Amino acid sequence: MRWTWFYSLASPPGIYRFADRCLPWAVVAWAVLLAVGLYWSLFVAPPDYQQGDAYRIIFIHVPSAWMSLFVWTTMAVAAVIGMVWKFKLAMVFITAAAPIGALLTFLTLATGSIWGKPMWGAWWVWDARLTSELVLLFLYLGVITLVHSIDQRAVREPSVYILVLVGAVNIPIIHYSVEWWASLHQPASILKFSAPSIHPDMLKPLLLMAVAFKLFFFITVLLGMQIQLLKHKWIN
Amino acid sequence: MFWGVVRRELRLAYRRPFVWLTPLFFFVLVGVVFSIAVGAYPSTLRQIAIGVIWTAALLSGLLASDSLFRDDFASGYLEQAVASSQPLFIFVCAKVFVHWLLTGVPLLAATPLMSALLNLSPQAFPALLLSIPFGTIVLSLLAAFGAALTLGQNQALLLPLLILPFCLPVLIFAVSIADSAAAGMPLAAPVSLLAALALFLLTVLPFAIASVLRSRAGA
Repeated sequence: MRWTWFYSLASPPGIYRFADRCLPWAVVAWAVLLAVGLYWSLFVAPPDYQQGDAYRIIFIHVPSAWMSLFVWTTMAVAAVIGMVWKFKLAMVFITAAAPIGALLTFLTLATGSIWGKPMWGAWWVWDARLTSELVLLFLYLGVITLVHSIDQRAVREPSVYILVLVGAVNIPIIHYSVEWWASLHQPASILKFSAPSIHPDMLKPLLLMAVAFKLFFFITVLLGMQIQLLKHKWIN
Repeated sequence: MFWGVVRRELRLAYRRPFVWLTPLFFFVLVGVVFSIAVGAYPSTLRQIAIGVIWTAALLSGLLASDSLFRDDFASGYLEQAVASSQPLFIFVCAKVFVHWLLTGVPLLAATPLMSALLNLSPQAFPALLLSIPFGTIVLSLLAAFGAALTLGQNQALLLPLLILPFCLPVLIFAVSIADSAAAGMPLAAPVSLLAALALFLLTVLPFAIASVLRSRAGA
């Protein structure tokens, strides 16, 4: 098999068939990972020495926070591809990915809030990390609104691409907000140059959950793209 | 081309003064509404004065801006600007500059009035005057970006919805200038942050706006 099969993913029928072929496997893998990850993180992983069992919300909070940034990053890559090479699938991808990103961002804020109430004593504080994540939610909502409010395709595509690219400035700000500003939110404990400051017994289920969340995005975005393609009648 | 567009826009604004006077009245009116809504206690007002003035500046700068390119688009002037041999971002810079002259700079004239209405502390006043021109450059750039994105849409709230998240950093830095002045702290850090933000957006956004406008005019 030559690697040119990859090119077929850029055409509507190609990606549609690819999704059809991948989805059953991806769903099975996701279900297994999620079941194992949830069991491991809720029952096997040791309780935290300070927070007891309450810390276990980290296994939802951190993967969804990572994904909220990852989804926008993939959208920005798609926007560049769409602008430079005029692949119409880039717009299909952004249309499908934005609501999922918004959902994951909301999940991050909601679980963080539930975690913050017992640990910090407040549902919400106006802190750099929390504020920039909230801005990310509004950016997702802005992209969704813009996608649905412009009818002409030739106008919609460049506008949405540029909004996504300008909004991408926020991604590094969110990631580094805990280092640049004095923040109530703890600094990064995993994605850093030294060894992770989290115990391996907690890190392993966390990474498992992260992969499960990534698969969730993969599955939902492929389904969303299939729906878009059917709507556009690019697929018979 | 830059000064040609600026002269044309200023002449248009001179003939229709209500277009740029309305945001100014709106700015003062938001201050009045806030003062009445929070109960008009001088001590409460002094605490929130800087935030209210900046919120009013933000709203008056954004709410009226969806018309920034509308007339040019309808009359075909925008298409001519796109088709001309001059780079489009120069046209964009001129439009943003005039927008700033007509919505940002007049706020300076209304700021003494707002400071009196809201019982602003005297130490914060010069810092506020300093922060308004810098901050409103950013607001004008973002407003033009929003106006380009929403050009031809009949939803008045779409522009603020898209642009307000981007306005939060300028709001934070601009407010912190006057806040540090009121607290007697040095201004260098927040002023340089705001100036850096303004310069960064000044180098990036005109190109983004130009490429959105080009797609509009072509379609």
